[in-house]
Amino acid sequence: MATIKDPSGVDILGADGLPIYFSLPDTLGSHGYITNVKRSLDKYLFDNIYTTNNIYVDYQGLPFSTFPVDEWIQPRIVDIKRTYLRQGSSTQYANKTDIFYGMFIYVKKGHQTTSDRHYKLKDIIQQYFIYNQKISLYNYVDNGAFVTYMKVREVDDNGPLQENNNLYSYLIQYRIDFTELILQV
Amino acid sequence: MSLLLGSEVNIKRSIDKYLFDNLYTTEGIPIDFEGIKFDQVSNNEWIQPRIVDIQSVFRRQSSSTQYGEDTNILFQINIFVKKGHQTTSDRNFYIRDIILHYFKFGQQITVYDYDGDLNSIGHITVRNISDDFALEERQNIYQYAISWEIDLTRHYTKPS
Repeated sequence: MATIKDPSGVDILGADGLPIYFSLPDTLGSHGYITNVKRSLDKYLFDNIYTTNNIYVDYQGLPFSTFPVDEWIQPRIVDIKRTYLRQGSSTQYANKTDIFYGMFIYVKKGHQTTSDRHYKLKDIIQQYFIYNQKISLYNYVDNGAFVTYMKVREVDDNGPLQENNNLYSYLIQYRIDFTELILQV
Repeated sequence: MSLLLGSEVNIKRSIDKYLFDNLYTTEGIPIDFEGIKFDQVSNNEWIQPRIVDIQSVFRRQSSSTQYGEDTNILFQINIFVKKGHQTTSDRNFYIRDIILHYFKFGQQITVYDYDGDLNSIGHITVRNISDDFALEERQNIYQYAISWEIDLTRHYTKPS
C-alpha cells in the first residue's frame, strides 16, 4: 500500500496500513471512543478481507483510487443507536450500542469472468460476519490494548443494487453491538 | 468455512440454472442474466431476472453446530417485448404466463454447491407472488414485471 503523508510531510499511515490517530484525552474511557470502534472494524477488515482474501478496501478517511482496481469494497458505519442502561459499574455509565455497518461491493463490468462475482464477494465477507462473530475492540486512542468484543447480531440489509453502465454493486449491512461504558462525570 | 445454503453465489447461480434449463432451453425465451453481457439489438423479446432483496430472520439453532436463518428472497422477472415484433396484443402477458408455469406456489428449485463440488445441497421454495402487473409501455417496448417471495432456511457454521 502506498505511503500517504499529510500536507506537512508526516506519514499518516501506521504499520498496519491504516491511518494513525492522534492521542485524545482519556475522559470517556476506552469503551467510549467511537474512534476505537471505527479503527477496530478497519483492522478486522484489513486482516481478513484485504490480507487474507486480497480484496481491496476503500476505507472511509483514506484516499482510494478506483482506476487501477477492478473490484473493491467500501465499508461505512451508517448509523449508531444507543440505549441508555444506567450503571455499567460504580464509575461508569453503560449504553447498549448498535452499530449499523454497511459494506458496498463494486465489480467493474467486463472484468468479471463469472456472472456472480459481486455475490461471491458478499459470500467471502459473510464468512467473517456470521451471527455471534466476535470482533475485537482495541484502544487506539491510548495504548492499543484489547478492550472488549463487539458482536455481529444480524444482517440488516442484503441485496444487489441496481447496476449502472460500468459497475455491478451489492450492499450488505450488519448490526453489530457492544456495551459501551463511559466514565461518569 | 463453508456457507453452502447460506451462500448467495449458490442461490444466484441455481436460480440462473433453473431459468436457463426451463425458460431458455425449453421455452426458447432469451434471458438477460445479471452479470453477463446481453445484446438487446438482436432480440425482439427477452426477460431480465433480478434478485431484488434478501431478508433474513435469525432462528438460533438449526443443529448442534449450526445457526439457522429464515431467508426470504424477493425475486423479480422483467419482461420486454419490442413493439412491431409481436403478432398478438398479449405477447408480454403470454410470456408472463409461460414463466408462471415454473414459479407456482410451492415449486421447489434445487440449489447446487457452485462454491464446491456442484452437488445438490437442498432447495428453495417459491411462495407467494409479490408484484404482478404490466408496466407502462415506452415508445418502442412493452413491459411486464412479476416478482415472487422465495424462501429457504440458511445454515451457518457457528463462529468459534
